[in-house]
Amino acid sequence: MNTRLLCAMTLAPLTLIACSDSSDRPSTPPAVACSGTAVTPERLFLQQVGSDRAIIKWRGNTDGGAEADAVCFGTEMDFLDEDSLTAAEVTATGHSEALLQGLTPDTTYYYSVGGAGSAQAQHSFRTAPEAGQLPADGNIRLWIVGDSGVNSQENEYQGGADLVRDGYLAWVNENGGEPADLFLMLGDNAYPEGTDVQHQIAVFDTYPDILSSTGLWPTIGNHEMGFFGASTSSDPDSFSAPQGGEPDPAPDSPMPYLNIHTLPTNGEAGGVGSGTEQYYSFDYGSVHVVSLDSQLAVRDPASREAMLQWVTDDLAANTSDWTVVIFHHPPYTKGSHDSDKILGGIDQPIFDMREQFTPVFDEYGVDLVYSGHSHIYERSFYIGGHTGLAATFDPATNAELNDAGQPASGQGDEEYTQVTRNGTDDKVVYTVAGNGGKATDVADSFPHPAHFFGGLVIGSVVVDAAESSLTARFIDDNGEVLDSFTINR
Amino acid sequence: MFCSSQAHSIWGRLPPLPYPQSRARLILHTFSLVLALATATVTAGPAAGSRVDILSAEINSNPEEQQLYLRRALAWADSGQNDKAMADVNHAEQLGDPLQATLVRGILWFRQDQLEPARTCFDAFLDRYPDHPGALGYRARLLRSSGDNAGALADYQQLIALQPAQDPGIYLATAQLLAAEPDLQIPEALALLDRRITEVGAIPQLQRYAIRLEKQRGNYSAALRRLSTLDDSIRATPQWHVETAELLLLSGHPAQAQSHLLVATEQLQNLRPTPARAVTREKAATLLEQANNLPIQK
Repeated sequence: MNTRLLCAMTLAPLTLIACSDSSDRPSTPPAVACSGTAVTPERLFLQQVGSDRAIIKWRGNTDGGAEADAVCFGTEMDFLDEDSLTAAEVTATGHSEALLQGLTPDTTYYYSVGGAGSAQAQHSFRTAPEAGQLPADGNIRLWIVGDSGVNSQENEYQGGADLVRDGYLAWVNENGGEPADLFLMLGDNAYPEGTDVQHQIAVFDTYPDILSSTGLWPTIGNHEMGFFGASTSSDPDSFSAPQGGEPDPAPDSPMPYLNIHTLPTNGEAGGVGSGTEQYYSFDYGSVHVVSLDSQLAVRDPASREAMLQWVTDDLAANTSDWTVVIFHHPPYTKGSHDSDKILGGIDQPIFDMREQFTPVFDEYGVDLVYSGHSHIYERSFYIGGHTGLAATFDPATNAELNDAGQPASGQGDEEYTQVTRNGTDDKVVYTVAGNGGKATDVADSFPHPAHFFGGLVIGSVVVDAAESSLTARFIDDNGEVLDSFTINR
Repeated sequence: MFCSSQAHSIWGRLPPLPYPQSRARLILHTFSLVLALATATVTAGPAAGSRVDILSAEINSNPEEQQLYLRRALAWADSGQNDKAMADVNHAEQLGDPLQATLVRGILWFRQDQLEPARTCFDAFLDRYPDHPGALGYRARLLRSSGDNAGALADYQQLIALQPAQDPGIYLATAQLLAAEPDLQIPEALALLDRRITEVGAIPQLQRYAIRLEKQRGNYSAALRRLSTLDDSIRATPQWHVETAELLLLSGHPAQAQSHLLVATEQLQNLRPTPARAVTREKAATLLEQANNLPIQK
């Protein structure tokens, strides 16, 4: 009796295939690799990288040929199955975007723009772990850069963003090589007006390898609002750009920021849908990130009220281990902007965010707030309940204190605990990181009393969120850590 | 009133504060110090002076270009030099369509809270360009600020008709104005909200206000229906269960309210304590006591 017959006689039908040799298997067509031609776009970036979906977005062809109209993707760099071929939609401003769905959480995917059968090494990304979970390496890393748009403006700051990027990469290389899972931009991403051309230079030409492998999550800065970032309008139609570019054509918004990015409006990446790309939230494993609009939405009282309602609901529904909020105008700063001065209406959003939004952060368990606008690095103590001018800050009531009754530093034996001495999660660390390309000035009344650390130096922030602790580091352009703090759960 | 350049200025109303004491440390990086020395004053983004300088250079090359003066007017205003801003607007008025200058003059007045002269300017501009979204938006905000709700409502409605993909706040403002109108009131406001909700989903910015309106008119069952359309993640919160219980109590269903309150209480025991959850816990306890004291309907 041969082996095949024994199997057929003794085993259940479901296991028959396992006993068979290959010649008996039901015929499944052999996998075929994609057969398109890889295209190198002029801009290539990832949006809404979640646990089961991601958007690959691009425009142009550096070779000058036809633009790609599809992507192939898969988990093997050298074999992208033709079944993965995904057509892109083309937007009014000529961006192609391919939505990849049905992805496996916490898995590395490779892709080819143009639909070739294999991918270039830098064209890969890792999906998020499932909501509430950590990735296999046990750590979620956020890279945060503010006011980095200097490369698109001809002045002495050009190149500053490159130095910051290289300092960050040097630090990563010297400390285990773990790449960022998320890339957060704090606004003023393209000086001076946020035109499409300026975004190309300051964003896409500055971070090409990072953008092709890491999901980008931005927030609106005043310089995304057009002419020299001075608009106090709540209307995207007020965008004007006399220097180096034109408003985007209808039917898109005139504002390039809103056309370049494809941001979640309906809770596609977790969080509560906002119905607008101006502000949104998402989950990345155990981290919940909220991006608020301290420019457009804050300018109009009704829009501000609407955003306040939304963020209250979003945070109430959030049960993530860690919560990070980003927006452009810092509630507390004594850098190149002074959070005690409205500056002719330009800095009114600083007051609005501090007076109306920081109480919500206190109430709903936000851990970290990152802003830009002020071209400096400033990091607060673990604070709450402070909505007034700097002179009203009272460490005894507004800050978490150490054993000596002084505001705790967040370092060494003064690390913070998420649930404070009050027995509740009622405090937040506020960081100004508007120094991603230039560090320009301090206010006459520097430093702000809510701040532990201030550095007139360019750099960026790395946040490492693990199961029981979160550590944030400020890394300068030399790859040196100049400040850090830890919050424990 | 004529759209003029005469009004009271409120620039610079906040005095500087005394130097505060703090444990903060300042690092002066060599590279950054060089950058710092290049910028003399604390300004908005790139120094406002440089923006004026660039525009002034362009004006020197194109002294008859109206738009350059109008842009420089806004740049002057941003640096607090309102007299120079108005001078540029006055000059621009002579170089082309005077209404272009009128719009900028209105914006300058509006930013100074000078609502009457600003309104005159926006009125003049919109007489000629009635479908200009930016001007409509400015005038709608202005009219609402000055208590002319009917006028504001008309402008907001026109804005939405022109560009339906507005920020949720524009719909919220319009609904609030509709609800306050004696002749239209809540049904019209709800109809507007529902039109937008159909397009973008039951986002809390709009549905929450709709729920408030339903409660306001005593239609608790409709409020409950709306509450049940909120995002799954909202409906999983203890806050949502407490809100639902409150509406059930108002509509005379204490047994169902009790169920929701017990769910909320159990959830709260397993969630990280926050001040908001403490408020919810207290409210749940209060409502539970109310529910226990109400007769159960058969």
